[in-house]
Amino acid sequence: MNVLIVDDSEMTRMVAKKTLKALGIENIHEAADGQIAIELFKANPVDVVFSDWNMPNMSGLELLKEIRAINTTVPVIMITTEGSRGKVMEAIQHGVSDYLVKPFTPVGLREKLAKWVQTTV
Amino acid sequence: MKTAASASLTSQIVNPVISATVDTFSMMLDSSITRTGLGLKRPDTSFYDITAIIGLSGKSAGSFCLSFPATTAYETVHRMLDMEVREITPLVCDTVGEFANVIAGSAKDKLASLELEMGLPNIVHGTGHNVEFPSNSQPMLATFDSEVGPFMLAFGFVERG
Repeated sequence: MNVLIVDDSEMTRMVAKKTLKALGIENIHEAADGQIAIELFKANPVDVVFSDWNMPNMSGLELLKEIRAINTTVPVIMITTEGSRGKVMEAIQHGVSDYLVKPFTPVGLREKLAKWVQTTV
Repeated sequence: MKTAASASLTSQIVNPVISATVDTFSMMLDSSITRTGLGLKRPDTSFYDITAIIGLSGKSAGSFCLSFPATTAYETVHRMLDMEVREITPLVCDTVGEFANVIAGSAKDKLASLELEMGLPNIVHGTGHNVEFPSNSQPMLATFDSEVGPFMLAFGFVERG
């Protein structure tokens, strides 16, 4: 499985990577902003995207629109703080698949993967 | 009168902020926290070594600050990432910023009536720094102890319009 993690927080990316590796997932691409994420998305097979909402330069919503212009089916899961949950409806209108509230737990991450990607994790 | 209204607003924010802090430390670090002080922030209050500042605005506007001594930040990185750090690196600053982001996001959810929008965290570090709040706000300071060490929160809000 190929996972793309997009978050301007290095700590959050590292925690997500650690969790995914513990689930046996080795093909993990990470991006600190939306522009890098788009380049990685175009250059690599990606089965699921986990993306922060509140990022500098390109917001999670703008990134979502760019991804949907390229691929309409890949699951895109927004990572939000509780305070941004109100934005989820707007994101759903633009094609977000699901959301994960920060701070996420390994169980929460695994549940989202199991829901959206055919996996044995 | 405006200062009194701002003081009332800031005190209304205390419980949601503290509750969000308790939840965040429990979820992210599996750590309980103990409040060691709560009161008005004095103009000469020094913050700890690393402070994350987040602006919020909506029906009111203000700032939320989370400040860690370096040792608390190092232990937080150790617990989160199983990494030993002994200097203030971008990762250490990012970690304090992300904690502030999660606490402010959770508090914002509990203060839905204020319709706050949240900015990105800015980080200040250095010994003995201070953060100024608007003169018509009455910022509050809360100090805590935790399994990763002491830390403090400061926040001040003013009504808009």
